[in-house]
Amino acid sequence: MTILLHGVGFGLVTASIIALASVAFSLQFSVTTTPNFAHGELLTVGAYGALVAQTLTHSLILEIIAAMAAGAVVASAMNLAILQPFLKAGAKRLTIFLVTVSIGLVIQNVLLIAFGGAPSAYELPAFDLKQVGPFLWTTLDEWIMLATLGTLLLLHIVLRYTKFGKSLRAVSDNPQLARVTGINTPRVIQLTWGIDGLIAGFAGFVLAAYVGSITPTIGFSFLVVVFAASVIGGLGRPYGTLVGALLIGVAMEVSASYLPAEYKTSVAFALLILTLLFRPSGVFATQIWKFSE
Amino acid sequence: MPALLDVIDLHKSFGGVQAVTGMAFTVEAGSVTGLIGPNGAGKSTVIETVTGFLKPDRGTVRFANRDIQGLTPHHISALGLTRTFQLPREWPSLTVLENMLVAAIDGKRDKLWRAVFTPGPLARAQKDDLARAREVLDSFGLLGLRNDLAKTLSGGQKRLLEFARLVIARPRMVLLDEPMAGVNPTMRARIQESIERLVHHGMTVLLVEHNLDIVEALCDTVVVMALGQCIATGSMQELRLNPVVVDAYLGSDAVITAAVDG
Amino acid sequence: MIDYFVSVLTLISIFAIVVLALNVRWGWAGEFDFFVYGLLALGAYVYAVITLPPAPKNDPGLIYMLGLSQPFPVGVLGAMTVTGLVSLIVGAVALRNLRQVFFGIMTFSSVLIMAAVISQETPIFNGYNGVFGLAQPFNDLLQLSDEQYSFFFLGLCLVSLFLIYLLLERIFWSPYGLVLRAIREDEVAAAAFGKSPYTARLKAYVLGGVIAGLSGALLVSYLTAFNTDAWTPQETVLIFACIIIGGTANGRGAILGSFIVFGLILEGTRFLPPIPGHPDAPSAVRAIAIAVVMLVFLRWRPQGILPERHLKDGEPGQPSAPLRALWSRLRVARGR
Repeated sequence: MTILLHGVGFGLVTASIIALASVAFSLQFSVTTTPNFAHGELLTVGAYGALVAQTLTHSLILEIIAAMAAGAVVASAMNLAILQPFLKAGAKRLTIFLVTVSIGLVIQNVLLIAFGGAPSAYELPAFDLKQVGPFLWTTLDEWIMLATLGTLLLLHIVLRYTKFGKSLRAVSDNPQLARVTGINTPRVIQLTWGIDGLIAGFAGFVLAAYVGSITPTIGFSFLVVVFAASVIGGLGRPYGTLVGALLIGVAMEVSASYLPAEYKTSVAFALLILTLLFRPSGVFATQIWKFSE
Repeated sequence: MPALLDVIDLHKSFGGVQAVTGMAFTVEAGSVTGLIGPNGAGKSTVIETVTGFLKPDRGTVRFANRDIQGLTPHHISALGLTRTFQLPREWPSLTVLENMLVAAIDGKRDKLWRAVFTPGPLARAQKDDLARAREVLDSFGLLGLRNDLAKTLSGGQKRLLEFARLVIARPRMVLLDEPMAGVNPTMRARIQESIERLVHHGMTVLLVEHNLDIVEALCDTVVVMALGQCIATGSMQELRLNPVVVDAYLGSDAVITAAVDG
Repeated sequence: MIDYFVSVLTLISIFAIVVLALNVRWGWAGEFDFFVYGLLALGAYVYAVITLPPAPKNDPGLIYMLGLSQPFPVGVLGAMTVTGLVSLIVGAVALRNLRQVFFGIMTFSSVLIMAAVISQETPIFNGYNGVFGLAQPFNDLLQLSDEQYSFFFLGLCLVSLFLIYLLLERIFWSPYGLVLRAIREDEVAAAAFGKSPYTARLKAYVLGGVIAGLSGALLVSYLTAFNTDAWTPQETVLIFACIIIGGTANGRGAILGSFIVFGLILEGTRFLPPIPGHPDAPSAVRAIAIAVVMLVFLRWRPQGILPERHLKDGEPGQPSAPLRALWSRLRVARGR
């Protein structure tokens, strides 16, 4: 039983990181309906951003800001310079998907040239495991979970109570109607990508801090886990994705107590496959949509 | 005359909405039957359920003395019952000629093993198909466009291509789902003529249409549907005077005008 | 110099076969499939364990299943059968409800799971270290020198590629091929005309899988070794690039694309000088170059260099057009 509870405890930490990355992904998807295959690269960029800030300054705050800024810049540039021109030329969803695949490839390899393929250490002061209720956590773990909760709360406030948040929800609900009622849809989309990048960049920093090192593929290896959480929670539903992240995170860590650790991500993939097969609109769907185009 | 299509106590609901509640009607072989009714009556749902694109909740659909409810759309179509759609559905990146050839290919010829092991007979059959396709396209005035990709056709031309495909496929019965929808007035005569041509080629037709003049011109019998059920059947003249029908169509100029005239 | 060209050409022709396999699934059937490279890998592994001798009893560094010491043809048939069966299973499940992007995500996850299982479960294919020490096909009979053998093997690959190309051309122009493309265009309309989208797509999926298995068998025979390092998601993207650049749903386009991507870009930048301190730079530059070219094509020439071919009026289906063209050219030449 203790092992199970420990697994759940680790799972909550993993779930926090997944939640950050997935909610950003889901938010962007809800507005643009573009599945972004380069989403993992936003995390990687954030991680390296923090690394660069660490070598220049030694301020944790600046590292975090650098990570978020790097993510936001890359995401916004991606939309403005590449995705918008393709969309204006009438590209279909699958073409856009392939475009994001290509962009991901470029970003990964640019980082490979800049930083090398070997893992770059990203170290924060080491912490010890302590017993917190039935769970085993380090102080870093606790900070991660708090940071996630804080970010999600902030996001919730923005979505619910600010004018921008309302515009965003309008666009994601019904883009044509939003345009007709005077909402500047392109601007909402651009800002959504920016927020996606901010949160994803932050998630990259958190991931790097948790793992302790960064490689050019660190975000990419997270991508399928992000897909899993988003699909399980319901694509384009940021709140559902949160629950999806919890499920995936806990499932991954609990399974690691019973299966070899190398199968952790396979558990996430298997859950993704099962969801796609039996309940593709997510666990919370009231309406089953078919993924046919 | 025997009933080719027999719909008995058909039910279909979506979420909480009852779209079809005990719909029943028959279509006689060789006839042109109309299916009319105000918006939201459930006509499209009837088409979708009868042709297998939706599974009915309850009820029986018999086609050529065979129960077809619950079968897949392609199975039902292979049995000889096909349909068109409210928006023309051509195969856009195939040429007009290829669109015709696909419609002409029957279920025995499109097997993969035949493609690998018996190319000769397939090529010969394709030559015949090509000749027939050219003939049919010519009769619809589309022969000049045969090597063009179907997506380059205008809306009216795509509609004609739909009819051309039906002529070459020669199903026993076809459900036409609002073929006049979105067609500009100059094309209407050609569409009407195309429907007549289907009948000429031996097809039984069930025509769902809002344009009641067309329905009157083409249909022997008309089925009126409202709120998920059949409320009357008969010829258009009879129905125009039927108070139940007029009531269901309250606000529809065509019926009221005709009732005033008749 | 010649050795270099022979080896490049051999690799290009092997990859062209798996590109043709993806073309069947994606170009013809519209299945956005990420599993194809996993099937190449599976074909490679299965070929290996059929043709290798049994694993030595006491060596913990070399454990794998089977080990039947069979010759090349049996290995190839075995590989193609297994990849065909796996494709049948995966396709039967995935093609029911999923399309396009979500089919892609599902097949992508399946490859990653397969890779994890193969790496982890050592007794199957020797886990992370993979298989090695394969014999050169037919060389126990032919006894050729290394240089002669490399020409022989190149010939073997080119002949395989040509045969697969001819087979696929025949299928492309057949009624099945045309119906499959109609299903790709609009499966609802196809169903209304009596075609079953599911069975047609599944057949295409299995056909693609069988061909991918062949390419895997050839690849591992050439490399004489194979492990999980050899298959990454990047390889799959390269295969898509071949089709996007060369031409979608066009067999010659797929082969042309393979030459361009694997030939020029992959090998072309090999002549760049290594940059001190950045050992990964040349391969990264190559990858970026391919990605940029892909973007350019996606924006301005999405149909690729050689677009899909159509039945033009007057001509019946062309199952053996290349042979007939060759024959008529020969006759003209003799006539002069």
